[in-house]
Amino acid sequence: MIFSSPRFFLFLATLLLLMALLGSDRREFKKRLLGVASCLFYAAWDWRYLGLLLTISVVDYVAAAKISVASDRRIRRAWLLLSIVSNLSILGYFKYCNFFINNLNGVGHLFGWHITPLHILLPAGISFYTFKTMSYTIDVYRGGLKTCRSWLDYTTFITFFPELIAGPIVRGSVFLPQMDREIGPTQERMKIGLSIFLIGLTKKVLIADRLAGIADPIFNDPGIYSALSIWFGVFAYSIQIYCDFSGYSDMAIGTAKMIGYDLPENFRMPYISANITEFWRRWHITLSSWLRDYLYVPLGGNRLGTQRTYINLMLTMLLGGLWHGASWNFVLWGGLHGSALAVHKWVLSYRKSCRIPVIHPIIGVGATFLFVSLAWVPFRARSFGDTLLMFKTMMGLSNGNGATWIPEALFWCLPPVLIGHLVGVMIEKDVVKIVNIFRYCLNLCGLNINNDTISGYYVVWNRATTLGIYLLSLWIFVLFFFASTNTSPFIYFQF
Amino acid sequence: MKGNGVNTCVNAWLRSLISVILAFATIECIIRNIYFQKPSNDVGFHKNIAPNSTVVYRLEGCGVSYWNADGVRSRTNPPYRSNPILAIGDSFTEALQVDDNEVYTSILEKRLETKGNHSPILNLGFSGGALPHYIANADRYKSYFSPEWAIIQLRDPDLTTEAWGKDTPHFCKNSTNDVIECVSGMVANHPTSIVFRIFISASRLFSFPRYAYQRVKEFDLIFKKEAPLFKAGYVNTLSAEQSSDLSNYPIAQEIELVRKAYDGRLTILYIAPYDPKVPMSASPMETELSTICRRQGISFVTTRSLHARFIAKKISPFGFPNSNFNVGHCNHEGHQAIAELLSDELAKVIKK
Repeated sequence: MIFSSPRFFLFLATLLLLMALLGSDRREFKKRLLGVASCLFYAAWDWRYLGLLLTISVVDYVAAAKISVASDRRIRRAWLLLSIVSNLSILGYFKYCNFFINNLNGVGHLFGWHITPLHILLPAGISFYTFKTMSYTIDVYRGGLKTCRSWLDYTTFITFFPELIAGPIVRGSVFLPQMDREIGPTQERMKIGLSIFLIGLTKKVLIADRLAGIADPIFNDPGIYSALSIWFGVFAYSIQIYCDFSGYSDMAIGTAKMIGYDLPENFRMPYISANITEFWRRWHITLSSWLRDYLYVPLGGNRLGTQRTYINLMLTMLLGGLWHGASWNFVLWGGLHGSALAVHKWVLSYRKSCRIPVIHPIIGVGATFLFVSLAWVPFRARSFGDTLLMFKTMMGLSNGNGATWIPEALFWCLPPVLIGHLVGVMIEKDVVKIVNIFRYCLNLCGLNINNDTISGYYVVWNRATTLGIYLLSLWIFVLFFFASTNTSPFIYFQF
Repeated sequence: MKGNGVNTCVNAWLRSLISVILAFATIECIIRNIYFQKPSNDVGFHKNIAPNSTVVYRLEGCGVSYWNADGVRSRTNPPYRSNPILAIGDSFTEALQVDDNEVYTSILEKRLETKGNHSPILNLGFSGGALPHYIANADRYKSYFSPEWAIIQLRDPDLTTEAWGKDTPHFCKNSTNDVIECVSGMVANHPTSIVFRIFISASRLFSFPRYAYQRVKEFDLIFKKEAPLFKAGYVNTLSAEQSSDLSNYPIAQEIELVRKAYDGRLTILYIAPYDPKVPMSASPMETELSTICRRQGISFVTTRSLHARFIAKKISPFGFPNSNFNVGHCNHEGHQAIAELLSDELAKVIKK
């Protein structure tokens, strides 16, 4: 049940209707209803793994409860260890078991032994919900979070369907305090939620799915294309993965808003980053902050000297790459980003002493985008061989016998992304004149800029104006008629 | 006070309604510029396009085509100055994706003129056509046009899967299960479809419920195999299993039927799939078809012979910048090459 499918609309509409019918004085019942709906949502993917999800929630709920009541540090540690080991074991078994078997077989081939890979079906969203539950127990252990009052509340948090499959990775410290809220749809929540959802849907079906039609054939068979076409394919994928994933996040945030919860911002115009460090502050914010707080900092962060900082950065990014998928390609992707982060850190620390000139932000944005796009090659390519072939062709080192295809869709998918980023920059930098003009135009359409402390900036529906209704109707018709029909599942579902 | 409140509410609703209607009108204008064809209400030579109409098609490629008073795509209107050459085929011949001067029939006509053959070439291609259709329509075509020659454009499914369906003209085996027959006759439009087409002639917006229904189906991936309305570059390829079952189809008998239907005055044009990795290796169907045609004395050309040119030019005969590379219908390069291939062949065979 993907967010852009009619079945999801039906599911969401039914849930919201039931919540609205329950009125405002049945908070606990509505939370239970939400929990059941979330379980149904997950069961629609594969009901067999619902038990796994509930088991994880029991283990972590109990572990956190024991941590909070125990006064002995060793006991607290033991419970934390149990939680982490159980989560990582489950993740390791389902996601990485066959990866290690295949690698062992690669070595074993030399000695004549072979292990048969297991038939394992990857549970949807396992990487997301294991990280979510681990952050909960770690936060309770660190004393930064109170334990959840009831297992049912905790399960509602763990199974919360808008972000269950592909994030954002919501921490208990963000979500659990909201559990006391009165949930259910209100006119205000619906206006904001639907606006954000519509933005996400547009990104997904109008841009990402259309660009998939360019990137997919090129990445699936790079050998038949020329260098120019492969460059187009790589740029198309850069925009596709951004619109796909941030579109999903928007839809998740919008859906949660309609229900009555706030989810954290996951993307903040990542392609305007002037350097790689800034990129990781803007891209998949909930994952990068998770890796920072639960991996990089515990490893020592930048507190143990320069060399150790670089090692920690590299380790964090390598594991971050591996988190995305059990493949050496993802490790390579993580390694590339880790190296770039380390180099950037080195440049920053030696800038003054070595008189390294400051790069103009526009050049920095171009260079960062180029690097990130190139790093997507191993991320998306089907194999290590394809990655090498693509890099060689792009650099003009292959035989160059491929055909040139100039995909038109790329050129009309770029402007909306570019304009969106530019407007975002103006708002972020608070360029008063331009922001005022933008606000005036939005106001004519009955729209407003909503600055939410948790979810970030969004353009949302404020009031009905003739122009606004006209444009909204037109927008919906355009979505309806021109959405790409290659309705593909969201890229991040596979992680 | 209460009256004022009601008035305000009515005004708000009225304004909203006008806004939605205006949005409808805008999207109508946009769609007309992207995809517009006047549907035919009678069973004409083209079952989808009305005679004397212009089709705009920019979903895959970018083509504007004129369909003459007979409902066929031609540079000339009837009466024709000499017996025409008929180009019969499916959407690859119909070629809505390219302009009138780029379609292979038009280029071929010009090329034949330079060689002294002034026969007009009438494009009778229609989307969804298959070999049984061409056989079923042969008598009608012959009596109406008295053609000098016929070009029958074929692809793999035209002789296999699409030739043995049941809803349209199709092949079937006789009672002894050894000789095949063609179940002929054009399928008339359903009365509701005719009414629908009258409305749709006025505005594409009347098709909104149908669009809506189809879009919902597409989004939900329920009918994955159905050709979606806006899916550019869609191609109905045979599955590996089906293509390996070639021996199940009596290709020789099918070709014999088409030879008889057009009195042997035909050229079979085979549109070969193009794989840039192995451009010159013939498909099993192609090899078989070539052998059968040679045996039956039928003129046969395959676009395979042009593949070396595409490799040299680093292009594909299929696909457009707004669809996919090497997927879908022929682009203008493909049409140009087909026209060159056919002009050489027709110059030889028509002289005979």
